[in-house]
Amino acid sequence: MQLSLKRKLRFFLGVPVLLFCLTSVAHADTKTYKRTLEKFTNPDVTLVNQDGKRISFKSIIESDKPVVLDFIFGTCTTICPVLSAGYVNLQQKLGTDSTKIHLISISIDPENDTPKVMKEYLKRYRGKPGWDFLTGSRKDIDTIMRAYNAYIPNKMSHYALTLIHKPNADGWIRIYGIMSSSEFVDETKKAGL
Amino acid sequence: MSRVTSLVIIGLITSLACNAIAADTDSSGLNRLGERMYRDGILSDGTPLKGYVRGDVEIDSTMFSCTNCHARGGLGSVEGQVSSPPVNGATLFNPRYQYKDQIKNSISKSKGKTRPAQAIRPAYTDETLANALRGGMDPQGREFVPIMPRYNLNDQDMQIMVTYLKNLSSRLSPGVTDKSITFATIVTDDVSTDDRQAMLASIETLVNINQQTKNQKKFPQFAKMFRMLDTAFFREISVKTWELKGEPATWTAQLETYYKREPVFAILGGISNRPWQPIHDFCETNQIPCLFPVTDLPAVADKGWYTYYASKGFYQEGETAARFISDSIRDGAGGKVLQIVRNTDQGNALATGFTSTWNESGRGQLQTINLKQNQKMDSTLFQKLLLQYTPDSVVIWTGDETVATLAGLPPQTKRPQLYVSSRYVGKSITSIPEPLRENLFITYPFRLPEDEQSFKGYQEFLTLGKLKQPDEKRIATRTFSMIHIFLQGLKELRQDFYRDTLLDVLAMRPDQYLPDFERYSFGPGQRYASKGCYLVQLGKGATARLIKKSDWVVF
Repeated sequence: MQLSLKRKLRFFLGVPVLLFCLTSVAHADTKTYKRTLEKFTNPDVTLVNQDGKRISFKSIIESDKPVVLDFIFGTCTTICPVLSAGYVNLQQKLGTDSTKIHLISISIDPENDTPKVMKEYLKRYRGKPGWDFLTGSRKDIDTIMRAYNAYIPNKMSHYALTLIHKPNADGWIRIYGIMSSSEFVDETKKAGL
Repeated sequence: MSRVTSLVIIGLITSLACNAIAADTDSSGLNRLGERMYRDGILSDGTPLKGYVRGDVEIDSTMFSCTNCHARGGLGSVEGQVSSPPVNGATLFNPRYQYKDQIKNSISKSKGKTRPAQAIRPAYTDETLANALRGGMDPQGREFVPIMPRYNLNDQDMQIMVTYLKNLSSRLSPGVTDKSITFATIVTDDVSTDDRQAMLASIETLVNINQQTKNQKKFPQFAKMFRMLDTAFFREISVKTWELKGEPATWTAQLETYYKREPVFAILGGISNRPWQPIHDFCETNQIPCLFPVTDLPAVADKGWYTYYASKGFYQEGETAARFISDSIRDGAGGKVLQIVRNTDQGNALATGFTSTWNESGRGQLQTINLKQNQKMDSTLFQKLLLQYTPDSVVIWTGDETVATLAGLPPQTKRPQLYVSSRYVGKSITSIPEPLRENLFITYPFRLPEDEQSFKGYQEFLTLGKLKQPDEKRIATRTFSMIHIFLQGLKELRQDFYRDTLLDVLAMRPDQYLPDFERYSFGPGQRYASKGCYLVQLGKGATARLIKKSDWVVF
């Protein structure tokens, strides 16, 4: 009984939050993201990419290219498609320069996101070379999420987060929210593109 | 050609085109076009629906469409801090109230009364909805969050979209009344009496649990609002048993007869030792959800929508073995694989999973030997095949004869790696001679026994099912898991008793830790909840321990 009441209470507390979201007004011309500078320790784990190849995560992060990192999953409803549309638009805007930056998406649903699923996802979004989708054991994925202060216990409660790393830089640009295409290009230029 | 003739021809072509559009805009044609636009992001002329989010991020709806955020049933979704509101006809074209008012209004309506309440949004009209889709404004001029695309839709496509939304989840699905919901479960006649009873007794507890929920609302501890919600949501549950007899080819006709006699909202559980495909197809055709039947021979398809399986069964074991072997190949060494398949439903499912995954991985050489109908494996045949093919690994999808085959092999200094299925071989697997164990890998698609014993939810399930000992065939536990997940979905449905919405809300559930499988995980469009399978080896002794040799999910 106690548990049931608690559950119902949680449900009711959720209603006003939900209603606020449904009725909230936003303006497209104002910034809808929060930018901070953060320091993280890059974890030394091995992941698998969309071609089934094993990749040392630390070595691709600590390369001589600017790196952009986000957290998505192949069957995501709302946030990942918009983040991925951002990646596609960035690649289009950069044109031939698009391979000078490494876009990385880390799966937060590693059990479902097999190389086959990830490859189909990139194909659907018309991702070009330079965008890798990585999966791995749940333990390793959790390690990465914790390392970048992005841990979520449930993939359905994730949020829009993009991390940008300038080669040899000490820290990361942490973008919380959704950027416009022009803002995304500006941020990557600040990271040395 | 004179100018007048040209104009006449153009006029005729235009007229024919208009007639063609008129003919295609009958309700079903219009609905098909709208469905394609909503689900696949394709406009009536076959081109992608395009738009912008966050001002200048161009999106193409063949990448993600309306159904991604607002769900197939149109009742919306909540992901993180982003809430995508309902867009079904019943919601859009009626005033929107705060949730508490919506509930109170429903209760008053059921008593034949109306009550005043301030709407937070007036009903959409065709015009205001068009403004919303193109310009991102609600009827009161409030701008939507920038994550909602602003779409480029011409008038004709707008009309198609608006008509589709008007009809989307506008009437409750069959099998539901104001007071009750009717479900079915399915039992085929190849299932033993004990197994049938294990499944049906577990289903019966669902009716009892639901009854308890009904009684709880009388307790004074519940606040008025909670009682009111229970009243609004509560429906008596009945579960019919659809018995299928004879050959699977006759099942569809039997199912149609049952369904015509009494439509059901969904099929809960069910059990068969035969492939589930005919029942799967029936559910797709009639758009009936079928939740977690007890089958190890599910239909394995990328496109199915209506049946939710616990796992891909035997297919998944084959898939895992292929990934494990492929991953162990280094620089091309050890990549010669022989697969031996007994011609049974189980053997073929294991082999299909193995072969399709092997073909994707692209490493090594695979040779498959399909045994003839009723042919069994023995030591002589096995030894002959080893000499002929000299494999590095042998995948043996044969049944209960596997242990005798392996035990009868002459002693050898060097053996290939051997792979078998724990469930297909059966209980005799622990009697594999010790010298062979070092080379033997076994697919095991469940939580390991020692972990299961310490799994805190397991004892609870045994108590609930009045089971005195572990359920070796996992029929009761798998059915209880179905009930557990289904009840969560039913609660999330609230009063939106639409079949597609039931599947939508289940897809948004967090991971579930239940008996048998390490995890049930969900996601939009995902239809196999348990994605894993261990590769294990046998320890020493007659009651050998299972030793994990892989993660739960092998890539």
